[in-house]
Amino acid sequence: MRSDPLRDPVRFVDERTGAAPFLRKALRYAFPDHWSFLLGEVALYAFVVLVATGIYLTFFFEPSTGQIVYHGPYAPLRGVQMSEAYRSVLDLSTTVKSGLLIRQTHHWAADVFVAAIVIHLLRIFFTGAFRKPRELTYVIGVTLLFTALLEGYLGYSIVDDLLSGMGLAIGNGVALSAPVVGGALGRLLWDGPFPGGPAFEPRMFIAHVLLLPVLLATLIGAHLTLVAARHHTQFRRDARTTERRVVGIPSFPGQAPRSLGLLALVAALLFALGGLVQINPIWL
Amino acid sequence: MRPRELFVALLAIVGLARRRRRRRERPARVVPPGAPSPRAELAVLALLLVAALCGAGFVVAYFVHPNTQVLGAALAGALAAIGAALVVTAQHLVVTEEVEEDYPTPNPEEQEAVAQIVAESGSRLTRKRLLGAAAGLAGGALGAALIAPAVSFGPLFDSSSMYATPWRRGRRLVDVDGNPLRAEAIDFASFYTAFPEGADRESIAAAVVVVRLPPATLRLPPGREGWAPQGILAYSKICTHAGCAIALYRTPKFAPTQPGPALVCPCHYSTFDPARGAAVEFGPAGRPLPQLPLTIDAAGELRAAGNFSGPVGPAWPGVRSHPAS
Repeated sequence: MRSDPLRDPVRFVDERTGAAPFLRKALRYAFPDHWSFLLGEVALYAFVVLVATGIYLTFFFEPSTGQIVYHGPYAPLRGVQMSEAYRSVLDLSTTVKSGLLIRQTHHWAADVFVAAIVIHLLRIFFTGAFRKPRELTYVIGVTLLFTALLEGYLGYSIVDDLLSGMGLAIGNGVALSAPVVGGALGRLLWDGPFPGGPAFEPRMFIAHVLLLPVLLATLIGAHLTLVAARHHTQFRRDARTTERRVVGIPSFPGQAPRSLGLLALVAALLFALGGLVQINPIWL
Repeated sequence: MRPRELFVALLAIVGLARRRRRRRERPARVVPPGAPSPRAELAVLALLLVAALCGAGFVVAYFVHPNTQVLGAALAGALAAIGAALVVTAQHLVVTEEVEEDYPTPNPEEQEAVAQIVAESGSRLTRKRLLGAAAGLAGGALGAALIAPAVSFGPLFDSSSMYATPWRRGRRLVDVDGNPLRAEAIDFASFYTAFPEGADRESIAAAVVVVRLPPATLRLPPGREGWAPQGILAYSKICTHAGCAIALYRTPKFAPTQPGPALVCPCHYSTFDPARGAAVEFGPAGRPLPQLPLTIDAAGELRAAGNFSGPVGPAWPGVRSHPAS
């Protein structure tokens, strides 16, 4: 008899993947109950919001430093010469419905992402959770922090406003200062001396929307896999919580609504910030 | 009569199925039972309705009055209500239980088996080191071949563009509006930004700062005699540390006790002494600001008398190997 994927989905899936033992273990995975264990999840959910809002932004952004004269609806900048990249972000912020909300939410999410990673790392550091057998998880986490910083730097650099110019000038100085290869490195990355050739802007764009996000997602995947493989650390609470035995809330049904609730609350906070608290007003 | 037979047959099948289901025994519970909580269910219901209202509000606002604040508040409201509903569900509606399990332990036997498989698999190879070296050579050459196209990214071996400046002998200095700078208009205790007339201002070698000092106070390096007519000096506006603009000019308010005039970068406070060829007085900069030799033409306007004393901008390995061109 054929199993029906709608009436008996578990059987349907298990017959075709053999996933039932894994699913059963995954549903009963023990999450030690402490608020500080949610800091990493906050970073994860900020990343989710970043990807969602970022995909929306790519449909409106033009990665080009071609020069145009602005004739749009924002009066103070009419007649000003600017790059197509800056003009597209200006249009996104002034004329696209909900464009400013998504852009500001993206910027806030980037800030919260980095802040959450830093606080999460502090918790890991001061509780000694980085020690064996979790060194790899920790090293990947620190790598994630620096990848996130680079990704955020590229994010505000591709807008081509005043902040971008200043940041890139310093970035160029840092690249040039590398021993022996600095000059060549700077010319290679920037396609010539600062402020760089026309290839530089699309180069930053593809790094910001493809290379680094894929790297971040891969690292996050490896990080979470390693966490699950060695299980969470826990605080000593009673006689049951030892170094050999972990006590916690099962991922289903206990932890799932908490975690999804946290996702919704993080997203709510980010959209509230994006809608109500101005950030990086590029038109000034 | 056929429809009737069909009906009877259907009834029989349904009845059989029911009986079979009833006969199947329920296994022991995995998730412990808990008491229902109608009040919490009511709260979740109310929160979900709030979320629905906010979501609908977002759609209405999007079409009627797409104000960023209203849109953000509506979306945040919907998500917050869903989040609160999930939190209430977690605290009061799902079974509260704790599970225990052993932390995973290492698997020494498996480790040994893996090592053994790897070790035994190569037993047919007699010249392992030679083959390894050859594989390394092949891998290295292939890696070089795969990396080589990256050289197309920019002028890797040609560094001439980094020494190029738009300044030439006789080129006039103009202000941000394109008006020529007149020597008589340059005051003491003030500083001016100037560009090469008719040249690209995007180049980092374009902008210079112009200051005026009493000629008697100048201690310029040897070979720069006549570079500062009437005590007027021009230096690159780009800091030699990290490429910020030299946007500050320190002038003593009371000369006897205060330090002398200085060009200061606001980024990391590199401080340059304009009287001594912009030598570094303080801060992280590693070399002086390049100086632009000046001359005053018959009309009293400032012109470049040549090119910079050195390459412009942040330093790189080899920056001193070449003059500005």
